[in-house]
Amino acid sequence: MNFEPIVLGFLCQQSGDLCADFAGMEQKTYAPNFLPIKLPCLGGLDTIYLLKAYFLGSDGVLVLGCPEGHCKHKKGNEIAQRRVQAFQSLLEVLGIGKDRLDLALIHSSEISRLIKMIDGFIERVAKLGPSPLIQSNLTSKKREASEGLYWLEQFKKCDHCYQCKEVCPICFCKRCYIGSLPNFAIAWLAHVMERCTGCGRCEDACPQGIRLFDIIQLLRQKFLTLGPLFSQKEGKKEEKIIQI
Amino acid sequence: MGKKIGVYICHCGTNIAGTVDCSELGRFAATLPEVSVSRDYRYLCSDPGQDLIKKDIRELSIDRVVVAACSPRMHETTFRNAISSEGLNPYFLNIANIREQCSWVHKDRERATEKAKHIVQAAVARVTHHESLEARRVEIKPSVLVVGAGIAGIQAALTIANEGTKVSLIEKAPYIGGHMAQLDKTFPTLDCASCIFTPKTVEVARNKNIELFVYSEVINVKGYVGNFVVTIKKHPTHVDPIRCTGCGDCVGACLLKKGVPSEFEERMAMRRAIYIPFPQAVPLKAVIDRESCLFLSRGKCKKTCVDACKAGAIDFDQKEEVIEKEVGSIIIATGYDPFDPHLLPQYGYGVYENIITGLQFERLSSPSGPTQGEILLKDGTVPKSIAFLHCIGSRDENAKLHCSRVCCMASMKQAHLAKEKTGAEIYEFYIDINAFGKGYQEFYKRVREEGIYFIRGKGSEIFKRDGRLVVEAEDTLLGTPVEIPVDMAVLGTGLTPHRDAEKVAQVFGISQSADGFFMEAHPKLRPVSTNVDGIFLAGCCQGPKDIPDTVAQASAAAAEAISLVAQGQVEVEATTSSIDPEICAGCKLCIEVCPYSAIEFLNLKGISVVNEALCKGCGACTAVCPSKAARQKHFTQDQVLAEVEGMIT
Repeated sequence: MNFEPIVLGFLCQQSGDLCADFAGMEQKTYAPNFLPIKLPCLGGLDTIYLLKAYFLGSDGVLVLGCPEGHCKHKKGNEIAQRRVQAFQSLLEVLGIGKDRLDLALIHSSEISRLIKMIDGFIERVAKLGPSPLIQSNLTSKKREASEGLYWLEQFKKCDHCYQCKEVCPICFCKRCYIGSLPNFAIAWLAHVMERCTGCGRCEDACPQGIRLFDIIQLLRQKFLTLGPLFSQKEGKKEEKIIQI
Repeated sequence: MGKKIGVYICHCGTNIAGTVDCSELGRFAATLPEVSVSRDYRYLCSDPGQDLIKKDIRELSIDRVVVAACSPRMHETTFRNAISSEGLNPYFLNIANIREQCSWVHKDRERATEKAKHIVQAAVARVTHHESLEARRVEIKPSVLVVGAGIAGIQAALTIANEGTKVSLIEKAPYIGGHMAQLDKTFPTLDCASCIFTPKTVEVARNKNIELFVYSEVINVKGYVGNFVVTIKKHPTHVDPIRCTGCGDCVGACLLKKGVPSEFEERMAMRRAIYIPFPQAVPLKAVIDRESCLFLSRGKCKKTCVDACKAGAIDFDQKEEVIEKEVGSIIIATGYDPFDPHLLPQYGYGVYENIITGLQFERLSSPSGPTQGEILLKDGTVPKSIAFLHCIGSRDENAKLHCSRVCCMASMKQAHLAKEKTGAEIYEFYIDINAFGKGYQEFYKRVREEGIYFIRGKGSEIFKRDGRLVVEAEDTLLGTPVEIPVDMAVLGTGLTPHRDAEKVAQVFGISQSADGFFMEAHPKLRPVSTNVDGIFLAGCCQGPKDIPDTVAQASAAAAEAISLVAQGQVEVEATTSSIDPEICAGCKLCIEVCPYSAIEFLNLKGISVVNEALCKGCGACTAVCPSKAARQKHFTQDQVLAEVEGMIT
């Protein structure tokens, strides 16, 4: 039997979700293992949602949003594009494969393109096979190390001591949304990776010796092409510098 | 305390039950945590269906409701009203879309049922996290903005103004009327376009409730339904509209003797730098074109127009004005552009003389046009044979795929006029004749009986042989290629989206279909609304239309706008964001991503706050907030995470 992947969809209410409704009205068919979730705008596509999807056993995630320049909320699709690219880097470094995440920008009227997108993506994920994140079963430490998944093996060591979170200078949430996820270290990494200052305290603090600093360096190199996350410049604001 | 969730599964006749096993789904739903009742019913949206839910709320004290049925776009409001009539907060409802996104798109019954289970499980998981929310009510400003003053905009503006509501009518050109003002006669009744149209344009100028802005553009739109703030840029005409009497003395005095091609005459005639577009123009005021005026473009002119104007209306120092207007709703009627036949070089447009577009033919045929209504060739002689080519730029994979709807009838009307005026041999090259309207088929029959040759085959090329134009086509009825020498060829150019459509879409935040026309909220049931509440569409900006359809749609849009104003208040979604001041660390990332500048930074407290009146609920701040202080109502992290969990497991 062919492998049937579980593919989760995050659909923008203005384009992807509307287009999926139109596809229904026209009674077009696509693979039933595509599970849609509606968002008001892709600007609200949180990294946590993606993390949770992969941790719970999704083999792929397809994000569908408005074409460039057509976002109802002006730049939600651009924000999502950047976030998806950053997350793809993480998937690639971890050995899960960046092809398991895709963002497609479509008009709500492009029904046949939507169907092609969904079926094409499911086919692509089916070829990749089940997600290694699920296979390697991060929560149990019994499974043998498999080749090419060095980092996943590293992260398996995480025993939720939250030391990395405690020492991180940019991690300051009162209530931790990711604490309950199956693997804290990966979730935490995804949460802070783009804002990381590169101080390296997390690696020093980790009692299990997960090489957090090294993987962050790898990721940061990939992020270079994405452009800055903040518009703020480094250093002190000019008006705050007192001239002597 | 546990929630009491009621799950209701709709069969929708066989629409859902045909592919999804509803009773199996019902049994599955009953096993889900916190579900106290699960029922399936043939048509939940019917009164007995709604009563089923209401009864359970009353008798079983259900406090959360999941309805597995069609898209929330269809009946979310229906069911919200139903549960709120029983005193339950309307936001305690969650719709699981198992029709459009499940039963209608999958064929395999077993797998469709499996997917429906996932969707219902996700909806149940999500609804436990729903919070009681109050829909906000906002006042509606009792005025309407109409963008574009062609027949659609004028019809809409007049309908609204007659009801007593204030209208601001914006037109980009220096006169109103749009393309209809250029037409000679209208099919199928052969009414003279200006005879039926001029009374309307004059009424626009006279009506006290209409404020007319010509030579103006909307450059920015802020706000939301009921409370739009529109910024209008009024270009300088350099003629004081109050003093100008429209006498035309200045036009004769203009030193630009050579002239520039007139836009109104479709480049069939020349105009001066100062000009009155056409004799029936409203407003009948002269206008100076900045680009061709010798003084304004080069700074060198004796300004003879100033001397000629006895009213002293010409003012070269006039500056552009920026005006802000507050309106309750907006009607977009920006119209179309005719297809540019330069893009299909096989038709020789612009290469050979006497190949003209349909609109150019209208000007030739119009009694107020460059030839006073005579159909003449460039050299002034009467043509002995004329070819009309249908579907230039429409129904063409190399140009536009859509049918422009009006060109068949327009071409046949022009053929009739040409036959009547010149007695020439007329050839119509067509793919199919789309004579869809009232009296149209009869008109087609009448034209055929007038001795006009109909050749079923699209004109493929126009070239010159022995000094004459030759139209090449394949006669698909005879199955043979034909070449017909003619004196004049008229290209039935299609209707394409306005060249500024993309800009307009961005300014107003509305979307475009794949063909570039503006998109309606629902192709069947909401054809004049857009995806932005309070913005409506009229006329060809939404898709090609003939005049009766345009007038009908414009009246419909006006009715929608009036009904909104008459309500006085409107409910807006409660899905705004808020920032928890206890958690916010003041990193300002949310301020950077907010597209509506709805978040402010309080310097004193060192935190950011959301202005809920400006927030439109896109959720960008919630995703970017590193400490998750920002949360969007009805799309909180808890709710979406629960949905993800329910969907996958």
